[in-house]
Amino acid sequence: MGVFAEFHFQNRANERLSEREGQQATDDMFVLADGNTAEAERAGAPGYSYWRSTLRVFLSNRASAGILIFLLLLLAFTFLQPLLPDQKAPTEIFIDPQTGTQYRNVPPNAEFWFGTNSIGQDLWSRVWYGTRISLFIGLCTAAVSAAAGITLGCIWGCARRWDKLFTEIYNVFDNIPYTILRMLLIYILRPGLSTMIFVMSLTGWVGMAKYIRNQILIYRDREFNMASRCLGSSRARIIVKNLLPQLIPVIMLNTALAVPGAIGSEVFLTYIGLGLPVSMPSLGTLINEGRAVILVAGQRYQLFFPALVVSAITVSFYALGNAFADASDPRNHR
Amino acid sequence: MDRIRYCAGRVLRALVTMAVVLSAVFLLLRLLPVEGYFGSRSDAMSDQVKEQVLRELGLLDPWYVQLKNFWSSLLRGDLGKSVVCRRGVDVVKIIGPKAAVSFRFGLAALLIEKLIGIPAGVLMARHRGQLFDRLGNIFILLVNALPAIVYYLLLQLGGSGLLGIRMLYTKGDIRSCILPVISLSLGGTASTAMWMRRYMADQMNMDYVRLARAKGMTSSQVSFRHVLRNAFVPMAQSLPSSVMFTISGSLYIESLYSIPGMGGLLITAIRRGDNPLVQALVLLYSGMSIAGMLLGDLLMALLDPRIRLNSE
Amino acid sequence: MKENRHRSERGTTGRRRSLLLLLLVASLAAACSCRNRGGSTEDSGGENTEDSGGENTEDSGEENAETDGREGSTEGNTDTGGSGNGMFNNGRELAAAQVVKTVYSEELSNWNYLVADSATAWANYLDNLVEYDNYGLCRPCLAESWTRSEDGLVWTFKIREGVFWQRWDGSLYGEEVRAADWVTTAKYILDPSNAAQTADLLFIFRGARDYYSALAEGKMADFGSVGIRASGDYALEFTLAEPVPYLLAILYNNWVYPTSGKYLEEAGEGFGLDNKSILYCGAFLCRDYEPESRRIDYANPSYWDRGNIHIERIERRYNAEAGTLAAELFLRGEVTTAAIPANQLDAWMSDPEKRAMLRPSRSSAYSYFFLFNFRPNFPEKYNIPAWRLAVNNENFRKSVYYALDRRAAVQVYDPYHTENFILRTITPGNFAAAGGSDYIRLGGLADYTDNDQHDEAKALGYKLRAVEELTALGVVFPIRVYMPYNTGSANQTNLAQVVMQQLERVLGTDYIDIVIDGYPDANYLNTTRRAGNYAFMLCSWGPDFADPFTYTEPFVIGQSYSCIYMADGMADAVGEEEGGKPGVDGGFWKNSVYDEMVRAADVEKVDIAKRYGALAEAETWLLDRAFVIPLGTLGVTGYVASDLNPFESQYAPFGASSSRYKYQYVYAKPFSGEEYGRLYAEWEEERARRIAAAQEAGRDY
Repeated sequence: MGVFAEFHFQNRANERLSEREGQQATDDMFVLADGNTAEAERAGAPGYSYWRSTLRVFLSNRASAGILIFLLLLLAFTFLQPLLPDQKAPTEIFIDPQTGTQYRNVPPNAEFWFGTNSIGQDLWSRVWYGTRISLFIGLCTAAVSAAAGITLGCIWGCARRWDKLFTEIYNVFDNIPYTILRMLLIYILRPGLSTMIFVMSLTGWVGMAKYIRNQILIYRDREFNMASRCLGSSRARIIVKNLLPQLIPVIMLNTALAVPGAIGSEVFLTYIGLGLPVSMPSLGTLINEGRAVILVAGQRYQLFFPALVVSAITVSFYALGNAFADASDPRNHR
Repeated sequence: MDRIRYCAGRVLRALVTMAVVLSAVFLLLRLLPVEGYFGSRSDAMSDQVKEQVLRELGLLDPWYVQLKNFWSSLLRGDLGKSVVCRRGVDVVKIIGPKAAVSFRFGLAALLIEKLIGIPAGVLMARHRGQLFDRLGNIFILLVNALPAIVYYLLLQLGGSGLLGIRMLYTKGDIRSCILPVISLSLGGTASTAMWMRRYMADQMNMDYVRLARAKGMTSSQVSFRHVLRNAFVPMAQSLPSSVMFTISGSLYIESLYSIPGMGGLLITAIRRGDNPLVQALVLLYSGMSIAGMLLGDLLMALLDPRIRLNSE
Repeated sequence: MKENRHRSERGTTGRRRSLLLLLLVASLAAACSCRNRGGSTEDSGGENTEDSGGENTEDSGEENAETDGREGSTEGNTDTGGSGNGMFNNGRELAAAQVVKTVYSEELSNWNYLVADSATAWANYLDNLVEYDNYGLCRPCLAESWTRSEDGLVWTFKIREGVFWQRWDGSLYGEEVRAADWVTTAKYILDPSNAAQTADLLFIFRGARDYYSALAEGKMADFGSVGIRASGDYALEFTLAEPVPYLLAILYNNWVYPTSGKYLEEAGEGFGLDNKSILYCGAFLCRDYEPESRRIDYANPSYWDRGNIHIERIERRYNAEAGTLAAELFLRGEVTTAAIPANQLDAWMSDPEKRAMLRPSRSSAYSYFFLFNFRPNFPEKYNIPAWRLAVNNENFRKSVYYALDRRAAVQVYDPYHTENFILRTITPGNFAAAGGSDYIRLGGLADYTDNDQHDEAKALGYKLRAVEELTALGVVFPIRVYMPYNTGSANQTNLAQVVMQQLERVLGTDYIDIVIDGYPDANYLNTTRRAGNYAFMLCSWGPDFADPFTYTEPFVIGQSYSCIYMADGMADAVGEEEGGKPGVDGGFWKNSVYDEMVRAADVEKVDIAKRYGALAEAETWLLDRAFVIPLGTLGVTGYVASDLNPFESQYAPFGASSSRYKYQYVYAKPFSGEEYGRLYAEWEEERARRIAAAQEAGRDY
């Protein structure tokens, strides 16, 4: 997951560069003239909807549309799978009625589509259950990180009074090695689904908030915002209508990458023994179980299937994030 | 002068941040159970001996006294001695040799990353959508798609079998370093190429490029004279951090190849409750991350004259 | 223009350089030869997976590593001594190089044997007063002989003359090993400021506890009052507080390693930080050590019993992934010993070539059993009051007891020879014997040993009665059974799932609802069993000495196992002044039914048959009431590929003997399962013969 880890780093570089470019404009430079929003609205370009354009550009790329459809299908199947007929429970151990012993390491066949693991659990249902759990963790983490990051970033960028305090909080979070924070919290809170989402979100918002704040500082005093302000737009309106669209590309990319990132973290935490309980098999659990039998040619299917799903999810989100980032850049809406 | 003032201010603030980080971790560590200090004899040990073990570790004092003791010895330059992982050994002596090992491997990998990643990224950006770009993208995707934990193992088993070399790293045997270094550099190469390509592409969309082209410069002239330079600036910013953080090693790779580096040290230290060791590592890592940022900013200011440092 | 070209050149140089590098890598790789097991050169295969640098800590889940015996009879028919091509021992070809290569996954965390919690790590570096031979009989080592006073209180050891302290590189330190060196050790361990983890083991000696307490309270104390003294340069005298019939069997502890007083003082704080800061007097010297990398021991050329060291070098490589990689490393000849984990076993078993290299592990005396907790302290949401009522209902316990299918559970550890590891008693078989009968067939235990205890009809019968009785008490079914497991161990994780489903299948989810919950390996027992944080859990106990009495310890007052003394009517809660023993709950307990039975049995110190009979009766009592559900000897399970003969190793079911490499050889080929079976049978027979002979001669063994 090297690229994703480095994402924040490189981003920082960008921010720092741009942070110092713009001239600072302060509130006291402006005096509100009379005016109303409706009138201001009329000055806007007619017939342009940001989101519609984004969607249009996005869908015009056939590859990204394909990936989107694939991802939606995958998501749908993941959540519908347990409702299909003849599905097995993911943790149930199957017993061979003839020998009375467990169906250990049965290669894929008509009964067990993805085979069974070393104690006779059905890999097909485990893989989909795991995908469900891991996607849930990933999506929750991405959503929480994005929401918290955007909100805090906006406040940070706009409220000059709080800037110092926010900067210090950011510095502390940014400089505690994440591994320590995560491990200690899992030890204290006990491993589990909510703990997992919590510890991942706890560090996920940091990069996003910083990025948003820097972008706001850059764009805040650009000409079009000054113009907008001169026209009497409120601060909230400036943020939502003028600033955020500029940031959507990166927010989208960041959020899309957070999903495979969370899956990667989950694999790592499982590897060091802090994963989810066995009653909740996740992709991390399956990958780590499969990895242990990598040396045994006849049992590699136990690694192959979960790895395939992880790869498919990672690639889709990665491609999707990039495509959506491009499509949502207003500069590409021509 | 300005620059010195700026640096001094940054360092001062960094010190405050580090103090907060260290104290926070120190207190978090105190929330963990103490039974780990009794080792495997916990059941058979009498309460009297247990108490004595804790007393000698200073764990029976109230937390504020412990915190005070920690800070006073830290200010005297004493990071303490390991209490579990390697009992009685100075933490500096534990971390030093390990950091050196990880650093050597990391630096070699970083070199490969940059030497392959940057040219690859530039070429990909210049030939966007063409064969080389596609191949590069496939490589980036592959590296990121498979969980590292899986392909490192495949690389070790397959690579050593194919090349007929040892599976484990052996000191003094340069051949045994090949696979770990390659594994270490894979992720970085992919990400360097990816970001380089992106920065280049961003710059190529800029107005000045169009102007330069309109002026009659060839595309490659523009690329190397202006675009590359500009695209390289953000890359340079992270360079000091990257170099420094090579010493933190890689858990997966060092575990697989028996490399006595830093990779698993932090995790082992937390798992076994070796507080002085964890604290020293926190100090090291947060110090590096702060210093890395500062150096990165300075480096960028050197490379890009538009950036002015001030002590806002 | 010029600059431009320059730039572009640099771009390509970068590429060229990287291409070159790749080429270099490839050619270097091609240049080296491929070494494989089967290609006869270099190394031999081997046995004995590293004993994880530590002790038999039950915390670390199962140890796939085999910590077991190797041969050692000096009088054995050794055809050759040394090593070299074409050498044979007992008709079997030896490896050209007598080098043991292993991988280990847990680094030695403490080199100071005076403070450490276990004595295992120094087994090859320091000699004890006594050692064990490969049949598990005690024999002289640094003590040439010993005498015991009539009342059994005073033991005098005659120390061997002419053994000298050596530094890590083999050079002489200039001091002889004398009786005073054991006093130095004891004095250090009994000084509370050193926080030695084994201090309380010395409390068996007269005056030791008082001495320790006095110092801990900051008072002055005289070591002269402690029953450990040197009554001459070569005479060591132990005075016990009360007779300890098995004293010889506990002479493997940290306090039995000598320490040079002069060196200890000289080193001060720097004592025992690494291989270079201790002195050696054992068979091997650790000359090369780097934490998390390697630990390499060389045979000690000036060892007092040099003729019995055949292995020249022990190379231990650290590898955090040893469990995954060891098997492959063995096939490639990079190690001489590898434990084959359960999940890779099928592949080895189905390949005849690999199968021939595989033999079963020698089972350990670590007994695993399920316990019902009488001191429930698990999360409230699992309904502690209901559990209290259920666990105190004998029919409930028995329903679970008879429902458990040991085969299904132990199969997780070894699907091929499951029966070898199953136990229906707490004490394992072959551990002790009296009157020609194995302990596990004495008295009521025979019934348990010889009959399968898995009986679903019986289980359902007890279930009916339990439902009736508990419903009357207002218990609402199903009863939630909180069952933690160790996530650090793949086998225990699997076992938890198997047992949960198996029990629920037999008894029905309307009756019990087992909740399994994983805890990380580090501090596992502290967060679960010792904290009372479980309802039903897999626990284990390893013996401390060769007397079944050792297996009674987890169940008496004061132990944080399942606290049987807190069960209804099993003991009286009393005040401190009434002479109760402290329980783990902070209260005081007296008149425990079980403790009384054990105490009565322990009174008999001479008539072994009578003593063991009474102990067997106490154990039967525990099983009759389903306080304990024995499962198996799961400490060391599975299979090993190894070039060492497990029956050449020094052997004792407890302590550090099996970690010693003295007396052992490395053979050219690994031992197969068939050879193992044959050797095991021979070994068992010979051991029985020797024990009988020793008993007849009235010798301590």
